[in-house]
Amino acid sequence: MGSPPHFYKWATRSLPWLAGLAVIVFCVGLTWGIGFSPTDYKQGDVYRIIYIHVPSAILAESIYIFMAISGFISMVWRAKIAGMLINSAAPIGAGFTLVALLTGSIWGKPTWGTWWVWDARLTSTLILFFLYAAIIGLHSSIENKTKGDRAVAILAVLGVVIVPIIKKSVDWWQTLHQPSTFTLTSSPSMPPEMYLPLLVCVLGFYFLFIFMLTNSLRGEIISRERDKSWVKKQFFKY
Amino acid sequence: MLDSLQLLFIMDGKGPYVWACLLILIIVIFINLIIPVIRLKRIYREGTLEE
Repeated sequence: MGSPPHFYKWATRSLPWLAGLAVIVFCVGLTWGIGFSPTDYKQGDVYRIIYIHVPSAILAESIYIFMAISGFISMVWRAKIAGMLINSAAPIGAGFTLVALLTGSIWGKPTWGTWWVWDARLTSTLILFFLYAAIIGLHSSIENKTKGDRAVAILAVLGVVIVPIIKKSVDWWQTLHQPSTFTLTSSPSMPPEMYLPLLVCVLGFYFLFIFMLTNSLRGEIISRERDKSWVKKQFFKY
Repeated sequence: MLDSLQLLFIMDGKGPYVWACLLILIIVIFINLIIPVIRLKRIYREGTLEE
């Protein structure tokens, strides 16, 4: 499973199933949340941004943790596929961090009266976006892909320290940002009619990430292994 | 039916905020899905040309 040819075969076979699952759960969650959940008594309908903002923010942090684990595996076991996973996940993570930042900013305008404040949660999330950008930039600037993998693995592992800072920023510092929506220690502060679609949205975003990663990884594998005989046989038919 | 759709679209004046967020999400997802496909096509074209 860890070898690129096996991974490529698995990815190609599972891609349509992953796509179907991702589209169904993602669309159900968003339609339920944006179209059918009750209006918030305080914020009105603008709170519905939560169904885009919160799953994007959760995914932005989760993808970085995933990259750090892959980076650790890449450094310790020198698994080729782990380096490819970081390289494929980084643009997706950067995309969802950007969505979290932009939707947070759009949500901030009607609720806080400003597009942006330099508070701990927003600033640490912006740093996460820069970390993603640094990983993408670093890998593309190193011609030797093995060395590039090692460099981004180190950066991914070291940079993971930002995730607990983001998570705890609302507790450690006085911020304009509200406390975490999801916590493992306390029950949700929202009613189930609002909370359940949010859970479905989070699940849909995770499925979407797995699908997007698998889709991107296929290109990464073929790009790196294009000189290998299995690629020439399967892909170029010669 | 049309009235409820209109209400959903306008959302008491907050609709543009919500729909702008959805549009941003769709654009980011689209870009992340299309880039690997373009990349694969380019590799395939280059590989075929090499032959």
